[in-house]
This record gives sequence, structure tokens and C-alpha cells, in this order.
Amino acid sequence: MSRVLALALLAAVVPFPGSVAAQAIPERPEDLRFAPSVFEPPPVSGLRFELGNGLPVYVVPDRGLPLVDVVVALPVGDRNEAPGEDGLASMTAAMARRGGAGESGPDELDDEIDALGARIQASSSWGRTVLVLDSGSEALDRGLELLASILFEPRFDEARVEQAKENLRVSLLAEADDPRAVLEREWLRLVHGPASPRSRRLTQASIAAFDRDALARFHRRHWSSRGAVIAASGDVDAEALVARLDELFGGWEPRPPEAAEDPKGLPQGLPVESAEPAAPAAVSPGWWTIDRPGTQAALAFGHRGALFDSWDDPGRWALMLLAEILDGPGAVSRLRSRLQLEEGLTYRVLTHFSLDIVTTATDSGRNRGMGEFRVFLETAPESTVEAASVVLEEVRRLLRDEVPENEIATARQSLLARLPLLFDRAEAIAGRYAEDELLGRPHEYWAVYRERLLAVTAADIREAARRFLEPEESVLLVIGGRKATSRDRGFDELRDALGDPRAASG
Amino acid sequence: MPRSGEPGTRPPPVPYGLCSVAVFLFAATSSLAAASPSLEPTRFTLDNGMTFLIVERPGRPLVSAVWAVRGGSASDPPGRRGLAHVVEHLLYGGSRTIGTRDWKEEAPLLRRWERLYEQSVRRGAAASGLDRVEQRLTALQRGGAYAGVYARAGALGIDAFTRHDSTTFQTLLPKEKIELWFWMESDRLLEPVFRGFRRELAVVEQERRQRIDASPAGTWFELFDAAYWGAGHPYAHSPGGERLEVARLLPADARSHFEALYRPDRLVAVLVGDVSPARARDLAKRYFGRLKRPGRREAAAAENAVAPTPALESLEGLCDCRSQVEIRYRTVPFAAAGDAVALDVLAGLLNSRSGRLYRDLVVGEDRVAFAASAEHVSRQLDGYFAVRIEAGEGVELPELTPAWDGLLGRILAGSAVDSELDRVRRQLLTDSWRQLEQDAGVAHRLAAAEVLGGWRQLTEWLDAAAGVSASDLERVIDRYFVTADRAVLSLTRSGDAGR
Repeated sequence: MSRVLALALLAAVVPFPGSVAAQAIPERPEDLRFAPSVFEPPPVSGLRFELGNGLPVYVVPDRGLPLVDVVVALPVGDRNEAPGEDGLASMTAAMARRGGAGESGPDELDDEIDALGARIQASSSWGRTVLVLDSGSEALDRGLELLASILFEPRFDEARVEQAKENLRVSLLAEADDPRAVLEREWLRLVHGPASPRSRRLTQASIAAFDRDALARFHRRHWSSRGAVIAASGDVDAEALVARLDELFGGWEPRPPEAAEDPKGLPQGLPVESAEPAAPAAVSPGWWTIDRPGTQAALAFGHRGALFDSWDDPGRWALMLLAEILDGPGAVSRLRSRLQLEEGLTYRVLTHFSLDIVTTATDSGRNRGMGEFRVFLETAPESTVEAASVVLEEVRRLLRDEVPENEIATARQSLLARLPLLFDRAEAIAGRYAEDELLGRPHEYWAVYRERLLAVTAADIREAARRFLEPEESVLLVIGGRKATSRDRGFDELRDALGDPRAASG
Repeated sequence: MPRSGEPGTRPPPVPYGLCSVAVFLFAATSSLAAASPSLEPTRFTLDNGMTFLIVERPGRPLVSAVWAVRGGSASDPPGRRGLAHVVEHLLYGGSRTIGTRDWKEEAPLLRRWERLYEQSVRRGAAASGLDRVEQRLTALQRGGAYAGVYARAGALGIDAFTRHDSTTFQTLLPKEKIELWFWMESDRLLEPVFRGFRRELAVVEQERRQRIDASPAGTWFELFDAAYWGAGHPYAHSPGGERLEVARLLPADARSHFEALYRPDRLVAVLVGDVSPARARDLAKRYFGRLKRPGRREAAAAENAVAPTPALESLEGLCDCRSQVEIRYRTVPFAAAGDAVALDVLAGLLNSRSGRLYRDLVVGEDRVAFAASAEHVSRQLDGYFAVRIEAGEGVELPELTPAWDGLLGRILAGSAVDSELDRVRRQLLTDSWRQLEQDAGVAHRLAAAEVLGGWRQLTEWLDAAAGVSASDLERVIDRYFVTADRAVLSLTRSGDAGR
């Protein structure tokens, strides 16, 4: 009896998914049958520990490779900068790592980290400052000591700070040459208004204001254990690691004593909400252009991002699906279909939806957060008007028409398919759950993720569109070398929605 | 990619320029193999010559699936620079099954369109009826169908990369659905249909502009490649190609490129994830076994000729960017032994914060640089060692190259010490572990190494790197860092030109 026949007979009596067609190739991929794949995020129980000072630590051991990652994250960032301190949070993080720490000068610190084969990085973004140790497990103990030293006793070596300032000044000049950087900066300014912290940018004046004292002061005032978390993963024994972390980080105070009595009487580390300007920002919707000759033009379209009361706001789940449908990285992307697959106008379109929670709000009256809804793309100079009008049209379509069920199903599938990527390694699992605590996102979020997305209907998506999308209140900023003319495809639609093109600074 | 702040695909796991030193710091040394025995891939070759590498990693929800073809932009024929990249894009057009509403009706129309299009390109004006046929075709075709099938199955990270010596296609899919990958990839290799030809040329041009024209120094780097390698050299053009030549490509060009290069004996597939080698082998035979084995003559014809000697021309220009130099020395093709590895280690010695470039040029007393880095680029046919230095505040361009020469002199004067080498070895070993952490990265590295002559080069490379001594470094500096064999790109910031 041939093997084929034997298998066929076997298949006839044993329902065995996948092998019914063991030797045959189905005509279409849709004819393939698969076992269901339902991904459940790994349980969080047993992963959380607390140090003596209450500092939460998430540990996910994985002995597969002799590597360990330890991340210390603080809820501190650009948003904690006072006016005139633009760039100070990032500079503090960078120089904590680069300016020496404890007993070690900058070169000695680098030598020691490199000799361990380890890496330590410190960086800061809008809402968080992160210190990362990535080392072989046999170098972990010393690596942790160095990490603690950078966190608690950075030296901010004066010469290195001066040298970093030189480089920042050079960077700033280069930024003015880079059309993408100019577009980003000016678009944010138009969207949030010049007074918003989101519009703050490094300037020659703010660089001049950085010195060793300013960095040390920012460090003293903001780098406290309040709200901080630690995530550790890799080749470790959880109990032993937590004991060691407790020795090094368990005495870290919620707020260092010096911060309470700042000699210069500068504002204290205020809660994020009240540190923001209270007046509504002067936003500038409309069609703006920056003249910049070149073979490639770029544009950004959108407005301030949505704001939610809670992680479980039904509108937030609906908006996630809406974002996926408009331009997610999965296969359903209306913008990619139109701009790339149909028209060949652009190689890549990048859309970003902030899904902020109320703690980062400025302007909650208008239900808008500190984030953005933004479509960015590059195209040939003669195609900017057409490309922008396609974006406008697709945003309006979401407001007007319900999304067909099959499109929602595919978008949902894409979103759910990416869920395992967030938990695919020990480092990701520890990091994700620690991030929950940093952001105030309940762990429960991941447990209900699937079911919430499954519950979103076409009507919910349209309601989310009406709640959060404002095409006529958008800022369209085009940087390129060609003037739009009324003969361009889509010119009238754009002008009707946004007014005549105006020159922006930049 | 900045997306909605929710799950997103990772950025492409391997950066542009695959053969840089970092990519080859992959290892399964004895100690590592003991720690994780499953990392040794299972390798098998089908009767038609197609090679598979399987790394079974139980418990992973997703499988990283990559296949690569030996051949990239270096295979572009003269006058058709950019062809390999265009074919990479066209391979997403589908097959006789995917991407069409009715292949029987579409096929003759497509042939007619291609004839009309060819006439139009030759004449430089649209042949009558071209647009009408194209409209009818568009109605019959299903744009984005290939990616759509994957997306509905929950696959992600669908992307492809054209490099000088290879072209790589990647997918990430739920482990339960691995058979779909076999179906889809063998289907498009078996009978691809190149749809939307005109549109893909436009998209490829957009991509070229986005990568090159939109960055202030991008065009200069492209010109420097041409000057360094010299006209007609396979590496003289970027994978993005040349605008006017791309615009004149014909569907027939794409087909002959596909037929010459996309043959089973030039293909390598790698799966990393929860998939057993036995099942992979079974599926591979069934699906990819359908690809025809090439005849011996065909196999010989497709091999590259020996690469010409680089022209080594220097280039100077003005740029809306920081003043900077790139100094290139001609070295050797990729190898997992000898001088090639010593040069890789030398790059490691120069880089990182305790490395010589940072210490001497970026933060030292006599600093001249905003940033400085070294890279040994070794490809299949040839290699070079590049040192890039961007001017610091108040530093003039002419100071940069002498600063590098001074540093080189100090290294040669015998100050490359054992503690530095120890540091580099330690870093290389730890880096090699790091590169095993991500499945997709492992898949790409295995595929790249296998295409270049065998995945074992990855482990051989690390062993060789561990054995590099100070005298090896002196030897390669002596041998390759010769002023006569170097070319320099010098870019002066436009605003500084008048000074």
C-alpha cells in the first residue's frame, strides 16, 4: 500500500487537523485548515516583588541564554521641564550615563562597563526616564552596582557636559537642514500652539542654560523612587535577584530630602497635571506650507490626540480598531491601499494615534490630550496636493460611512495577531507588566484585550470617529519646493476644508 | 514604526547593509551550545537544491519565516540598475491564484498590456490602447491580495529587503498556520505574476527618494559609492538603482532576472519558532519540492564574474549637513577567517565609548569630532574599511583626516594593548548571545550567512575573532591602511563654505 493511501485511510478515521490533506496541496490558501490560535498573555501572578521601600520589581527568569536585562523606569521626562529648561530631562539622563558616577570618572566608568561586555543606557522621553542594564549573567552583580551608581550618584563631569553642549549646538544646526525634522517641529507647534510643552524645542538659549548645576538639580528634584518600577529578566534566580536589588535600591527614597528645600526656590516637582499651562493653547488649523526645494516633498496631517478617562473607555478600544483600519501595520490600511497600492504616490505612509489617558492632559475641556493624531508621508513635489486630499477623503469616509464587517474583522485579526509580540520574550513580559504599573494601566487590560476588541461594532467605530477625528480642524503642513495650484487633483477639496495654503515659518 | 501605541510590528530586524560586522557576531560556541542546545539549526536540502535551516524553539507563539535568494543589486545588468529591487516589489503582485479575479481572462490581457507597454517605452510615448487595457486589467486584479491572505491569517511583518548580494523576504506568523507560509511562498516562486508594473516602478522610485534624496547627505553617499567602486562595478550603485534606468525597465527584464536568480539552488529558507524539523521537512518537500531543478548550464551561467578592481576615487562637495569625512580603505571579501575577521575586530576596538575613536577624537583634549565610527563592510566580492568622522563645533573639514591619521599612527606605535583586545572579545561574545534573543534576527542572520556560503561561518567567525591578537591588528593595518588604497568623501557644510 502506498504511503499516500495509508495516510488517507488514517485520516479518514482520525480527525487530525492539517493532515487530511497530508499529501495534497489545496488549490487556494483559504482551503487550508488550521488549529485555532488563541494567544493568552502569560499570567502576571508570581512575577511581582516589592523592595523594602515599596519599589515594585517584576522578574521573569529565562535561563536559555546567559544574559540578564534590568530596567529601571521613572515617570519623569520632558513633561517635567519648566519653561526655559527645554531638553533638560534628556540631557540629565544622557549625562548621568556619560559624565561619570560615584568613584569613577567618565572614562573609568565607560572602561568598566565595556570590560564587562555589558551595556548601560540612560534616556528620557516625554513621560519617562529609563536606565537599562544589559549584561552577561556572570557580570550582573558588578553591572547592578554601576547601574545604582549612575542612578544615585552621577557626577555630571563638567568637561563632558561642556563637550555635550558643543555637540548639541552642532546638532541643532543640522536639524535646521533636515526637512523631516523641520516638518515635525513646525507641525507640532501649529497643532499644540507655541506655549504648549509639546512645542518646546531645544534652542541655542536653552542649551546655554544647561550646566552641571542645572543637571544635578533636575536629577535631585525628579529622580526619585516615587512611581518608579524595575523590570528584570533573563538568566536569574528571582529570589536572589530581588534580595540583591533590595540591597542596592531598597533604600531609595520616594523623594530625596534636598528636593524639598531647593535653595533657589524654583517650583517643586509638581504633579504632571498642574505643571501644564491652564489656558487653552492657540492651535492653528489650516493648510500650511514651507518652501524647501528638493526632489522629495513631505507632509503631515492631523490634530491633537484623543484623551480618555480610563484604559477601559469603550471609545479607546474602538479607536484602536479605527486606527488599524485607517493605516495600521497589518494588511488593512486604507491609506496604504489608496496611496501606495492604487496610486503609487508614496513608498510608505506612517500614521500615529496617541491614545492618552487623562493624567497627561492639558486641555481636558476640549477632550484633547498631549498626544497627536498624525499622518506623515513623503511623495513627489507635484503629488502633495493629491496625496493630502486622499488622506482627507479617507478620514472623512470614516466619519460618514460605517466600516464593512469584513474589514473590521481583518483589522481586529491584525491587532490580535500582534499581541504575542508584546509578550514574546522574558524581557518583553517583565517590561510590559512593569510598564502597566508605571502608566497606571491595570494588568487586567491584557486579560480583557481580546474580548474588548471582539465587542467593538461598526457603529462604535463611527462613533469613535465622530468623537476623535476633526478633519476640518486639522493642520496640514507641507514641506517642499512646489506651489500648489488649482489644477492639482484634490486642490478644491483641500481648500474647502482647510482654507487657502499659507506660508509657515521654518 | 510609530503606530497607535498598541501592538506594532518591530522595525525590520536587520538594518540596511547586511554584511557589517555586527551582523556576524552570532555564535554557537561550545559553552553557548551547552546552554541552549536547540539553537543549532537542522539543515536539509531538497532534491532541487533548495536549502532549509530550522531552529525549533518550543513555546513561541509566532514563527519567524525568512527566505533569501543569493543575488541582489550586484546582479543588475548594465543599463538596468534597480532591476533586482523592482523584482522584489513585483513578487508581491501574486500568482495565477492570488491577486486575480479570473486568471483565464487576465492572462491574455496582461500579455497585450505588456506588448503595448514595451512599445510605449521604446517610442517614448504611450501606445494607443495602453490605458484602456490597463483599466480593464485593474478591474480584474485584486491589489494587495497577497498581503491580504496573510493578514487575515494573522501574519505580520511582511516585508522584503534587497541588498547588494542577496534579497530577503520575511513573514511572521502564528505557529498553527505555518503551512500557509509554505503555500504562499512556494506559490509565488512557482508561478509569479508581475502585476501593476508601472505603479511598482513609481513606488520603487519613491522608496529610492525616501531613502536617499530626503536625507541631506544621502545623495553624496550614493555618489561616493559610484566614485569609490567605479563605473560598471557591481557595487557602484545602491540597491535602489538609477532613476532613469528604472523608468525604462520592462516586464521582460523582470522575468529574465527572476528566472536567472530565483532558482531553488540559490534559495535558502529559515524557520525559527515552534516548528519541528520533521514537519518542516515534510512541508518543504511537498510545497517547495514543486520548484524545478535548474539544468547544469543554467546554474553555471548565473554565477557572478570576478569583480573589477575598485576605482578608489575621492569626492568633495557641499552639503546641508554637518561637515564630515568618510575614509575608505580597500580590504577583502567576506570571510570567517584571517584578515577579514581581524578587520572586523579592529572596528570593534575603534568603536564604543572606551574605543579609540571616541576617546581620542570625540571627547579627548584634542577632540575634533561630533561623532566618529568605524565599520568593516565585507561583501561577497570585495570589502572596505570605513571610518566616518563628523566635525565638532568650530572644527574645519581639513582637520578631520589628519586627526584620523594621527590616531592610526598611535595604534601602530604599539599602543594596542591586550586589555583592549580582552574588552573587544568580551563584547563580541556577549553581543553574539544578544543576537540570539530575537527569533526574527536569528532567521535573518542564518539566511544571510547561508547565502554567503554556509551558516557555520557564524560560529567560525566568533572562534576566529576570539583568536585575533595585537600582532594580527598590526598586520592588517600595515597591509590595508595604505594611503594609496584609500578614497575619501569630504563634505563641507554649505553654510561654512564661504569661510
